[in-house]
Amino acid sequence: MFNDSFDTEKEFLVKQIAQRFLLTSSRLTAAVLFSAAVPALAEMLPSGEEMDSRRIHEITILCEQLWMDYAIYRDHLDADGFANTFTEDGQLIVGSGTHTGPAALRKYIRDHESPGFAHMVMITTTDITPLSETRAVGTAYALVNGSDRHVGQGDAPIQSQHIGAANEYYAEFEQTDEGWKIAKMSLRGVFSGPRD
Amino acid sequence: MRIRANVNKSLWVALLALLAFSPSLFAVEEMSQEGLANMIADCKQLEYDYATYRVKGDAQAFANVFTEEGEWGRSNGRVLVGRAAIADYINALPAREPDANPGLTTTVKVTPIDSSNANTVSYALMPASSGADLDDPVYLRRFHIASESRSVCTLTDSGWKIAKREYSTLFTEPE
Repeated sequence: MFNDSFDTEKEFLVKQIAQRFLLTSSRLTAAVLFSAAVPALAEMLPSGEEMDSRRIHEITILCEQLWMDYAIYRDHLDADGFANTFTEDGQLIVGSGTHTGPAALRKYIRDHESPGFAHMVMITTTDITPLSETRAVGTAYALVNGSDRHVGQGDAPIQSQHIGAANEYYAEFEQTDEGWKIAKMSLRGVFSGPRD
Repeated sequence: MRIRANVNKSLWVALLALLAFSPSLFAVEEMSQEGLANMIADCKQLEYDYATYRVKGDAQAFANVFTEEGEWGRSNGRVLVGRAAIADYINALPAREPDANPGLTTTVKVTPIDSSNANTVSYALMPASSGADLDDPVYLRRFHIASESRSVCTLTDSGWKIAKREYSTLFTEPE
């Protein structure tokens, strides 16, 4: 009943166990080697950790400024400036839907009544994480005040008791030939103020 | 025909002269990312200096945020010109009057014009407090105003300064 090359049942069982161990250990070895290789492979890729602090600082400032561009172009209803803040296939995901590409982003701004009602996206906390020389992600908070009329130079301010909302923004940034741009951005309302 | 050729020639000469003597026309595109980032950081810092010295009522430091002949437009349409006039204005304010608090600087957008000039747009929220001793926390009732400031910043021998500043109040607390 046993293989002829095995003298005893015991020897056969030992061989079986050894083979199973070797098979398992090969997998383990492969897993160990792969685990060891992952950090090595990861080190070959450019990462935020590899960049010197000066470069990280630069990327942080330039991406942070994109939040500010977004806010002011939105509030001033500057459609071209707003669209140019995003990459060619940049995506904005807001309550009204998803707007992708320059034409859709310009339309998003132009669909607002002109001259625009007084609107302020007041960016507060920002956090930018450079992932590589060409990619970064970030989160920002903003207090937002909207209104139902325009306030031009010399016009009386709008009387308001409350801040309209507090939002959280998430963005992915990319380095392009024209500098850093927003590749994707979404927002969610965190707090909403009472209506005056 | 000859006149037309001379006119064309003159236009070309004028264009070349404009390019030759206006290197700043293309300066922004030629700026390195490091230069751009430094400019943005410096101009943002001006906004924070403006707010901080205004709150502290430090007239000299506040005036020094401006260029020597800097212009500071007030809400009533009055424009203060020069550091001396700006410092005098701050010194003349009653101590800790509510207006002495420019509030919380939030959005600051810096738009480089060339390597030594930039425009900024910034927002500030000013809390409406009880006006009590500001060394202690005070009850925050609401925000007094939310305003937008527009500045022209320029690089001087002593760093970036505000050459001109004006602002509009967009939101205010109910009377």
